[in-house]
Amino acid sequence: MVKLTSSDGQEFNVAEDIITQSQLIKNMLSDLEVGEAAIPLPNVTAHILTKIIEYATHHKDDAPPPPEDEMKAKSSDDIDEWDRDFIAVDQGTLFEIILAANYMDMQGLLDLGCKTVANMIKGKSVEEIRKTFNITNDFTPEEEEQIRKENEWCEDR
Amino acid sequence: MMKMRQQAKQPPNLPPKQITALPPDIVSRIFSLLPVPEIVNVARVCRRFKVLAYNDEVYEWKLQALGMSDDVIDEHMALKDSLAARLRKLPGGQYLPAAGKHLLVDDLDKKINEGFDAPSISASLPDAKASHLIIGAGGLKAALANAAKTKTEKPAVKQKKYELNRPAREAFKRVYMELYPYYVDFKDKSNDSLLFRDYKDLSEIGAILARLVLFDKCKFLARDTTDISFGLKNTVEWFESLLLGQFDGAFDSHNIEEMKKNAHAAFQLNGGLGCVNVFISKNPASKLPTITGPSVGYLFADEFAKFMDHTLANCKVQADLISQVFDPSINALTLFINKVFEDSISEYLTSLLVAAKAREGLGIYLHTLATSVYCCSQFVDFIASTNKEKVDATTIKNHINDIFSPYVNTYLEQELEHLKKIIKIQLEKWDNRDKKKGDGNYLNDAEKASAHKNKVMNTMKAIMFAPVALTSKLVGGGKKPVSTPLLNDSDPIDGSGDVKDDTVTYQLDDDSLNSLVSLELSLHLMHANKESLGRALVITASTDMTKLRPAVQKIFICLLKAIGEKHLKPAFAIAIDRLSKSVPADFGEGQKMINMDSLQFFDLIHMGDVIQQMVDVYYAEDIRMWIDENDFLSDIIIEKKAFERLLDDSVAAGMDKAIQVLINQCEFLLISGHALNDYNPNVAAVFDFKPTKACNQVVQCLETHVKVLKGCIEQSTMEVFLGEVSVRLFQYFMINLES
Repeated sequence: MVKLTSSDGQEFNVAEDIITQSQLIKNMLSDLEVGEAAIPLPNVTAHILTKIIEYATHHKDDAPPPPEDEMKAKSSDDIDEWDRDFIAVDQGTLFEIILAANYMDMQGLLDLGCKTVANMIKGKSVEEIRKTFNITNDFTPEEEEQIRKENEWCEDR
Repeated sequence: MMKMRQQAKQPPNLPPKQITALPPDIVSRIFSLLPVPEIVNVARVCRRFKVLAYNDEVYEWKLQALGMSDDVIDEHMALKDSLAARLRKLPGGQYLPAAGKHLLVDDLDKKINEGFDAPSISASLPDAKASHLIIGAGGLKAALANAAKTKTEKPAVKQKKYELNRPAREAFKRVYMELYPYYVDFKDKSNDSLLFRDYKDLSEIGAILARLVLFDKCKFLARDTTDISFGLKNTVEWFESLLLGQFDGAFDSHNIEEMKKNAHAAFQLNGGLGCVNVFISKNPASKLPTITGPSVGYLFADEFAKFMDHTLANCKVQADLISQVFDPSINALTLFINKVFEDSISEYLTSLLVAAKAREGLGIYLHTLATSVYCCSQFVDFIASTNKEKVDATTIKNHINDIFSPYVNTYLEQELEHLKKIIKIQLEKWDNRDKKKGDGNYLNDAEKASAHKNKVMNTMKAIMFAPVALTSKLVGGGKKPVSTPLLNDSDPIDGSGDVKDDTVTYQLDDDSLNSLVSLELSLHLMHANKESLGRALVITASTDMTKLRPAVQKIFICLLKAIGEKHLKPAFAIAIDRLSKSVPADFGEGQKMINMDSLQFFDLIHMGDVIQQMVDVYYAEDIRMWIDENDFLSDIIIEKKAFERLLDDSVAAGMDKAIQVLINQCEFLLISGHALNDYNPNVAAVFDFKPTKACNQVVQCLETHVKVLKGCIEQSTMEVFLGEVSVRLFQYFMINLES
């Protein structure tokens, strides 16, 4: 069992074989004499840590991912059902999960988060994207038109 | 989404996270998952997104998927430096979890070495290992030039920091713009597509098709591309069959230029294995020559060697052609030679070996097998060493091993079986030997005896260690119709003829004193053994080195057992048996004062000694280098010791009997030669101190024995013998004197 402390001070007990899906924790456990002391995770709230542990528990028997296999064609379509339900959260939580997965180095979860965000962008117009993510347009219309022109090469006519 | 929102308990003082909170490498990663035409949409959203959407990282993954791993890492790192610096000033930048620190190049190595804080680095540096541009099957000229530039300008990294020209995005743009029109053109057309109108060169078409296939796999477009994929797939298949057809035609008309063109196009298209296969299947070298005429005996092996010569010549011609026609990277020659082995050589070999076994017996079969294994490994070495075209010798060797494995696996058993058969035949021949007459007189003379020993040893060495070609034919002499140079020609080794006479017919006047062991037999056995050893070495060396030592051991042990237990042991048993039955005899004047059984036994000691020396020489010359002499537990060492002990024990047991016989003889002589009153001389008579006639006879008898023994046993044994004789004789005298 490994003890973790979230940024808001909650303590979690997690089985080692589950939480070592986080490379960060795994490296800490092998490099440092942690002993009984809790590992502090200053970037992760209790709420997010609960989600992370839920994800890690479900995926504990997965085969380890091939190391940084960038050759395989990236596609955001291949999300399985459990993952889809798991990641169906509000935007704030989604981004926090992504940040935590990045911080704790959990490639599978990070991938899932990125794909989910990509799917939120896909098929939307520029204005729809701004609305979805609550982004203010800081371009002048001329600037925006300039970008469109610059990228005419990739339009699918 | 609704479900989770209820559970969300954000700390009240923090607003919910925005997408702007994500570090730049993650946003880039998200953008890279978008269809290419939609990337422009995010670029138009806001300034921050534009920077990230133009980031090379977004395109690197796509380039790799197109078979081009673009790692112009120097520029990339430089870009990242400035990017990180800029981003931290943007809204949300302050949330980057120490992002700025991670993204600084200098810090990277240190962090990775520390090991545990690496996560965000590995996420942001997907391809830090590779260092220059690799062009896939596509062969994009612009990218090639780029790669050359990167390579040559490597030392000038600093310069690059200032030309942030976003190479990955630019490279991808070029490729995308080049391929896109052809790709969408496949929507509902196939053979008359735009591609075939724009390009005429087969290689170029092949290359572009190959890249279009990759393009298709990446699903760059947002729309459904099933119909395009289908059209593309059909076109590729059609184009390949066109190429193969043309290649086929060109092969038939020996048009090398045309073959080369098509082979190269096929190589560009999908690696070109199809053309190699056509080439192989149409090639004359893979056609099977039949076994020419009925060959006999050792000619079987020559037959195979001839066949291999023929194949080799053929392969060399084809190798030339292959190096002209095919791209070196597909290793066509290796495939070709593999095919040659698989189709023609293995088939020929099988029929040859079957014929050899059926018609000529195990011996010839083994010889043929060894020869063919040897030929094949020579063949590969030769091909590998002489051709410009590189050949993957290991692959071919593995292949050959596969072909031979059914034979080689049973080889050792068969070899031992064969050896045992030879031993049995030889022993039987020995048992039914002619009782020829001869002269064993040399035993009376120590010098003659040792001269004989030397002669035998020299002959043995000459025969055993003569050049292999010569010896390999010697043993086969009996079964082989061709002349055996060793026995018929008058070359220096002709001494063997003499020795055979000497040893086989080496007898005393009396027929019952036929020599009980045969040097010739031992020599024959050693020969057969050496032949087996040679085969075993060849076969194990070129197939499985680990089996070499056990094979050598087993073969040598076989010889030791044959000579020791089946030949020497019975001989000694007979001799000892005869000695124990031997009765003292009265020798006439002028006769040799020695018992025939003893003489025979001494002869046997002599022979046993010579044989042991022969075995030792054989061991030292041929066996020792293959085994581990320091391993006292190995079978071969144990067996050799056992062999020596057997001989020593037999000699000792026989010697005991022989001494007894000698004493008996002396006793007999004294009893029969002395009148009773010799011991109780008449008091009146003058004492006659001269030795009696019986005494002279005893002395003479002892002298003869010593002379004979001098020739056949070692000094130390001699001393033991003399000591023992004098003790026992003295005992006898004492007993007599007392009475």
